[in-house]
This record gives sequence, C-alpha cells and structure tokens, in this order.
Amino acid sequence: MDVSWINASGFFGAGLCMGLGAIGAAVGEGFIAGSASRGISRQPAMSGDVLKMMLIGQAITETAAIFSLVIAILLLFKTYSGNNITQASAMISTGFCMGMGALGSGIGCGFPGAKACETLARNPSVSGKIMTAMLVGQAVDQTPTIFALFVSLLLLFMNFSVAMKITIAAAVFSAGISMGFGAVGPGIGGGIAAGAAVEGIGKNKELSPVLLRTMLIGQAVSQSTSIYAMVISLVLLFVIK
Amino acid sequence: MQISGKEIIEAASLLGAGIAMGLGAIGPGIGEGFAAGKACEGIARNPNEAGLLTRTMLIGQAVSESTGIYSLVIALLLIFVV
Repeated sequence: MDVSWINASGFFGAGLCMGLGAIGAAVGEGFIAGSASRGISRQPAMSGDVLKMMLIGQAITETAAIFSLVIAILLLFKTYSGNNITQASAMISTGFCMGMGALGSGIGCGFPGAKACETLARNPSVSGKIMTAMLVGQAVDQTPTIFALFVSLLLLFMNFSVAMKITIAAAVFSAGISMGFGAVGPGIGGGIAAGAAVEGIGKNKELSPVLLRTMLIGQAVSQSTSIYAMVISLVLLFVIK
Repeated sequence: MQISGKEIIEAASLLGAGIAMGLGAIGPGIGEGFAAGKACEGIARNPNEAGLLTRTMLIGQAVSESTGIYSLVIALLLIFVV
C-alpha cells in the first residue's frame, strides 16, 4: 500500500471528524440563542443577565466541537509509522468516533442552556442556582464525548505497523463505529434530563438539592449505554489478535 | 495480501459487533434521558412524591436499558463466539 493512501485516509478521517462534530454544537448553541431571544422579548430588563447566561451555556456546549477540532488537527499533521490497511482504517475510525461522539453532547448541552435562559428571564431571583444546575448538567452531559475522545486518542496513537490482517483492520474500524454511535444517545438523553431539572429549579428554588440529585441519578443511568459502547470498543482494540 | 473466506467472516462479525453496540446505544440513551427529565418535571410539580417518582424513573430506565443490554450481548457474541 502506498504512503499517499494512508495520508488520504487521515484526511478523510479529519473531514469526518470536524464535519460531524460541528453539527451537534451548532444545533445546541442555536437552541440556547433561540431561548435567550424569547426570554429577552418577554423580559427586556433582564437582557444583560440572559445574554451572560447564554454565552456561558454556549461556551460549554462548544467543548464537544473543540474536541473534534483537536482530533482533526492531529489527524491532519500525523506522521504515520505503519503503512498498511489497519493504519488506514484506524485513521478513518478515529475521525468517525470523535465526530459522532461530539454530535450527541453538542445537541444535549443545548437543552439545559436553553431552559436556563428562559427560566432566568421568568424568575431572575434564582440566577445562581440556575447557573449551577446548568453547569453541572452540561459537565455531566460531556461524559460520552470524553469517552469518544479517549477511544479516538487510543486509535490515533496505537501502533498498527505490524498488524497486516483484514480482521484487525475490521476490529479497529468497528471500535470507532461502536464508540461514535454509542455516544450519541446518552449525550442527547443526559441533556434532556438536565434541561428539565434546570426548569424545575427555576420554578421552585427550594427544590434545587432534590432536583439536582434526581438529575444526576438519571444522567448516570443514561450514561450506562455509552459505557457499554466503550467496553466493546476497548475489547475490539485490545482483545482481537 | 491473501484474504481467506474465514477471515472475511471474522472481519464481518467484528464490524457487526461495532454496529450493533453503537446503534443499540442510541435509543436507551435518549429514552432514559426522557424518563429522567419527566421525573424532574414531576418532582418540581409535586415535591412530596419525590421518592415515588425517583423509584418509577429508575424502573422505567431499567426497562429501557434492556435493549442496550441486548446489543451488548449480541456484540460480545459476535466478537467471541462467531
């Protein structure tokens, strides 16, 4: 296999990574901006605070896309040790894993941000508690993306120079597919839970501890499928010989 | 590179494992998030029933988890048995 094919697969992976990774964060940030506009139109006096909340929420939502950007840049400028079909499939797999992995959390982080902007305009007295709940919810919602980042870094830096087998190439590709798709659902689901918790705290601030607890339990349970996906990816990477 | 028929079957089953677990994880993730979200809404509306709502949420999530576990089982079967 010629060296230029390995480079081509790296470029293809970088494109997949940044293209897919940009979808989620953009959708999520759009949600937040839309809700902020609605909140400001209802309560123009709060425009400064709502704008601040919107920007903080969007900054956290951006994290997933920044992870994709980092992996895409690494893929573009990587020097390849191996020169075979396994290395080529690992590069495409890296891009797919990080790109899809960033999609779910990007969309999911939009929900708590949007609810935070809306409830802040409705009930300005709870701004601190809303901000805390939004940040905790968004941080936990990033977990699947971090799993995807971990798997794609493994794929990027593992040494495939000796493995010249079609089964290993398939296993490496499959590891990226598993973790990439597996991160979408928990990312969106965790965001829905966090959004509802933020809205509830905005309605009744005394309930903030119990709602945060319920939100964290719910998010932890919905993360479980992304942990299964990571386990399958690691098995595919390290057990298949 | 020589590729035998057995290797193609092995490669296909490994790819199948990744697709099974990856796609299988989407549904439970979103569904469990819905359950948690509605439980939070319910607690915000009626805080006295927090315990009951959390219990219902966990049962609902466990049931919705089952398809994710099926995917995990199928993926492990494809990796280790086929």
